[in-house]
Amino acid sequence: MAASSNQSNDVLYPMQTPLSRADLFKLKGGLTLFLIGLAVPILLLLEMRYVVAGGYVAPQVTQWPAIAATVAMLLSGLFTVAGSKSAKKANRPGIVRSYNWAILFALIAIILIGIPAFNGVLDPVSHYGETFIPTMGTIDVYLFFTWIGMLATRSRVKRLGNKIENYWGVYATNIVLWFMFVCWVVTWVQLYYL
Amino acid sequence: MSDDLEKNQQPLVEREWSRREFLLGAGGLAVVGVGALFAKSPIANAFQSLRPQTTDQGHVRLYQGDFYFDPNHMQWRVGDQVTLHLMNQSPNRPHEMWIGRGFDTTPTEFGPIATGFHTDFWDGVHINILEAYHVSNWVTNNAIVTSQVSPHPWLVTGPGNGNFSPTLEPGGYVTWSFTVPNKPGRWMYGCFVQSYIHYDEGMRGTIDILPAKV
Amino acid sequence: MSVTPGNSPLQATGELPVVPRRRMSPPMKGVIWAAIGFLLLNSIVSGIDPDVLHSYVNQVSVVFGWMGAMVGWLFGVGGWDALVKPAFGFPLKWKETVGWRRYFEYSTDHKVIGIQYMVSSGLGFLIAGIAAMMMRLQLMSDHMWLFQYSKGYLTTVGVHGTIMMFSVGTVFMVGGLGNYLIPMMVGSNSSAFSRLSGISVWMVPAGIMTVAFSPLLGDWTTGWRGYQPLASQDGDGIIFYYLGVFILLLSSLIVALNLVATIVFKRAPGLTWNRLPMYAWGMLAVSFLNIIWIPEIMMTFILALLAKIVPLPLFTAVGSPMVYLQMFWLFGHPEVYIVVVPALALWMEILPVLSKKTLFARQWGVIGLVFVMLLSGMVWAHHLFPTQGNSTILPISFFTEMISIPTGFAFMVAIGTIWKSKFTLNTPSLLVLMSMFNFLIGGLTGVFLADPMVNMQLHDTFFVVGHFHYTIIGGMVFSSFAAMYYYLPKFSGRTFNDKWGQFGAYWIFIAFNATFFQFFIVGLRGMNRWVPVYPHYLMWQNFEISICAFLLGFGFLYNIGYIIWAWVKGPAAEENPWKAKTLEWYAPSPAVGTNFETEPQVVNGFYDYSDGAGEAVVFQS
Repeated sequence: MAASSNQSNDVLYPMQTPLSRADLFKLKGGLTLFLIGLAVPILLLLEMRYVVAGGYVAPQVTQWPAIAATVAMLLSGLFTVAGSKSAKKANRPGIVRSYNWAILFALIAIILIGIPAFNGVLDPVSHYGETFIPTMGTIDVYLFFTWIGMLATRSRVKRLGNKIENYWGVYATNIVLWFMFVCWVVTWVQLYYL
Repeated sequence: MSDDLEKNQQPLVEREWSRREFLLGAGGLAVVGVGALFAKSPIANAFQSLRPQTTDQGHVRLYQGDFYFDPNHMQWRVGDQVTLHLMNQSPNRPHEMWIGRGFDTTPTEFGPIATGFHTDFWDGVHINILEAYHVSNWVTNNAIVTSQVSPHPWLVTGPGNGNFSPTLEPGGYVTWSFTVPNKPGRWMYGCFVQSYIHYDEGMRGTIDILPAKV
Repeated sequence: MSVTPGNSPLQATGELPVVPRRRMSPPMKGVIWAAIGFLLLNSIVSGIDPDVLHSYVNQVSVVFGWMGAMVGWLFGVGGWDALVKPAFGFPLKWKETVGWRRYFEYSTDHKVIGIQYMVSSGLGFLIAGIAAMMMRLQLMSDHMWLFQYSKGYLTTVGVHGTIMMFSVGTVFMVGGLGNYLIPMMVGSNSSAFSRLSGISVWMVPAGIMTVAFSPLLGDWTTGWRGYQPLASQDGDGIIFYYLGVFILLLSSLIVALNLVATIVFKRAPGLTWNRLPMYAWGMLAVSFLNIIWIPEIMMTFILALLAKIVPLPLFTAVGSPMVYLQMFWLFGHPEVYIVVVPALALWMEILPVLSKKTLFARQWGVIGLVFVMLLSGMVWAHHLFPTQGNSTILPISFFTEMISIPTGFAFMVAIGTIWKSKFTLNTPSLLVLMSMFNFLIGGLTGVFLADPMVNMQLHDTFFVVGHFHYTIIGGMVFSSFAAMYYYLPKFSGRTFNDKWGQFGAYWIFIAFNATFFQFFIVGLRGMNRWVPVYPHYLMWQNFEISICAFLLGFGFLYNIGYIIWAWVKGPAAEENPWKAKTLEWYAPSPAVGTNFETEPQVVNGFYDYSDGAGEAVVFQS
């Protein structure tokens, strides 16, 4: 990456160097490790829920925002996939267009996930509520940082223009968003139905 | 560090920053930090001694925390009418408030442990309870208590239950009014819940009772 | 701070225009940004807080204020210019500087980052060491005299343990030595994620300061474990404990990701798994432990923080304090192996070089490291034997005693290597031998403690404290000093006088054993942990232990001072004074700039000292 190709004093942007196969392999491997690390807290929270609240699901928990959030995240994910497809063809305006929609839907998902956790229907001091709120909050925080990453990717593609040599940033954002989608679906099914 | 500058073929220096500013800044922050950690009470005491202590009159607020009184020093004048508002701000612990002098002790492995004050400041004082919320119990001992609150808090009036002190549940508060009795000098106040541990952890303060104005 | 017009004699290079103003030093800028971040977020949260009784800085607002401060600090110290703006595609105005200044700002050079980690960690060692000295001062007498309240003492114990574990034990040999050495050891010019690594190092001083200043918010009595529900009844200082440890762990997590990716993906051609240096194996094992367990404990700390500030009844809900206990020690026991495994790996790294003999049973050494890593997740419940039933005590006791077997492999490899060798007894090898001796005592007393019956008697006594310090100081701290002496020529191009180095080694060895061996005795005599006062009959032994502890403290100061002196003013060293074969010694000494001008090719194992063994590395032109 930049540090090794830094012979001529130029510090390059992450997307401004061509990537070899080995570089790409390294980046994918590093991302995988990172996602494994990110999955651990989710597993802990899921286990915590059974320790504290067993299989109980509060009947008054708000259903529609969760379903709507799943749809929004799915749409967002489809748009990042479209972004990756555009990236393969080096179609930069296409990436920006797709990301505009993806960012919008991800924001909607963040808000929707926040609703059942913080609309006051659940008692935060009940066994179910006290695991529900931190779990949904964690997913929301994860998603918020993913969202910032999406903003950064879009902004980078837009500003660097034809100086871009690789589109790893776009692919990585897509992978992370789909990882978030899986985390969310697992959490949702587990908290609402299991 | 002894890094050899010449080793770097092309120095990548862009702009250098002031060493003096860095050292002064870091040193200053270190002094402030150490002062904040270790010299808190001497500095606070110095400031307190600069400010003349005023006599508390009228409505006096006293807060209980884990394990402290805020304020931990008061000054009353004999003959003044005082309305004391005592509030327990601890989220989970009951606290009481005794005022007295000397200790009654009980022997233990680690030496004698105080169970309460020997002399009760409230002996024979007329107490008028104005507010009571979440009071666990209120030992009256030899104080003469009237209550404006209905139903009044549980008053433990029998002898042998310790000195005058309200025990407040977490979040509870009481207000009572009284005329400062003619017992001038320095008195202590403190909480003896959990056999002296609250007191020993710092839940104590001093009251200077000034003689009546001539 | 005034901004004075710059008259820098050094010409700026590259296409960027010369900026005719001096910038503020990055740490100072970070502090100011942190202050702004804290005030901003604290004010917002305080302002929208519906509870009018709350003060301006309250439990909730201080958490958000701290987050603002952390973001401000990391941005101010270089993250904004070097990471965030480029990530959004803005022009990059940052350039790496040279000289001592680059150690005080953001850098992507793994060697600079390694030294930054080591110095931050050393700062933590000094702060936590002062806390330990204060504890020993208090324990010189059987009644309160130094601390006014017992909570002050317990907070000091907590600050000592927390900073030692999370900023020294977990950081020095992994973030510090690991970042410095691993890219060189695998023949690479940079670590895998150098930008990320450059910012993660600045989390360490921030985390240390957060924990060190936690008493400002209030005393906390839980020690380095942050036990809930005890913590939710403590003063607010526990908030800074959770937050400070959170940021320290985040830093270690990034180090782990970076090291694994470096070792797996950045090896030079020919550097197969069979040839991978032992220290790299150790780092790999430790980093996998970190990647699994650090997120687990970070999430637990977030839950504990919520239990404190919301407050959610998370750890009281099931009516037993066991939930947090289990969650903490699930991480807590792997944590001590996170601390010790690098030390075991370092023995195997140093000993073949200083014995001039082929590393004995290399594959068993690797198996040992890997199995310690695997088993370490199965032994946690021995920290809570008194709360367990027979059905859980026995398997955990079994695994705990099992883990001494792979640990024993490290001893086997080390002793087999020294056996009948031309052993050079100098400061680093002496410190390794001392470390082995101390860790052996720590390990053997650990076998006692793994026995349930003995454990019931010794639980919460100074015997356990002695055992723990024998493994951690004896294992990790002694090995760290060995590494500092061994790699000093690499770090600085200078060396030390072996006489004065050995003097320092004997000093800390004697003072350490005089102090901590007595912990076993005083523990058996009935001295409890976590108490500032104790029965009178233990007073003279405690008094004498304290004297030894002060000697140990001065011994550490002497060694640190001597290493710094040698670093700056020591006699010049040869390029490869120990005649080692590993790749880091093929890089220039002192290691500044590019590690390898041409790519190295590994053709042989690094630890082969048999007759006719060829060079391990060739450089293609």
